[in-house]
Amino acid sequence: MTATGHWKVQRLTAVLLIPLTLWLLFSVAKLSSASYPVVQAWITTPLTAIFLTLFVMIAGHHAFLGLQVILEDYTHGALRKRAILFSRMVLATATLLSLYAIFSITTQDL
Amino acid sequence: MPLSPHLSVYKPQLTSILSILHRASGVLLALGTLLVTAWLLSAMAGEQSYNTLHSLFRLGFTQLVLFGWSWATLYHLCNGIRHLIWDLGIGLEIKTVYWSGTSVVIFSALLNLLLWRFS
Repeated sequence: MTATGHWKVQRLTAVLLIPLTLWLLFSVAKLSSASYPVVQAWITTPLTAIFLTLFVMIAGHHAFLGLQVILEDYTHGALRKRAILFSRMVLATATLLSLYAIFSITTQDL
Repeated sequence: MPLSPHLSVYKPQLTSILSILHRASGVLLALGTLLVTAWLLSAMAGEQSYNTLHSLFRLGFTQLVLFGWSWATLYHLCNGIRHLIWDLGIGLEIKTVYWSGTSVVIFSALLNLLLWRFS
């Protein structure tokens, strides 16, 4: 990605994450004492599933872009490339697992 | 080669501390996305594993960590908005930078208390 492309996507994902993060934090706080069926029903709600999917993908990408900038500042040489690649792999795996979980939960009763 | 900020020769100021905190909280949140993944996977695995993770989240120590984590999230979010406003070329006077920095710390703390009133 070009430097300006990186800069723009980081800002775009940041703006999108403002409402998504507030929504997720307050939803989870409200669910913190709820029983499993309630949580399951919440995730299965179409709007929740869509917002969760968006959050997981956008947050994962935003995190990667941020970590890349930090790693570029504090690592050098061969380590830099490897560290960036490693962080990308971990975040991509977590994102995919989250998407898989959301998909499985929402399609459980189909 | 671009040089990293030389933190050790830099006199700590509110501005520099908040800037470092933005990065530190960002790293913490990147790690935190793994927690979200774990939570979703436990919900996928079924009631028993969900309840196991849930009771782990309910421990006093974990609650303390989660309290700090949600504050880190809200701080990063509020300070991120501050950065986005700077990107528009607004609020860059040194007095405003200090004022907005203090506001971000206080406002994110209040938001965090509000959030935990919900739980």
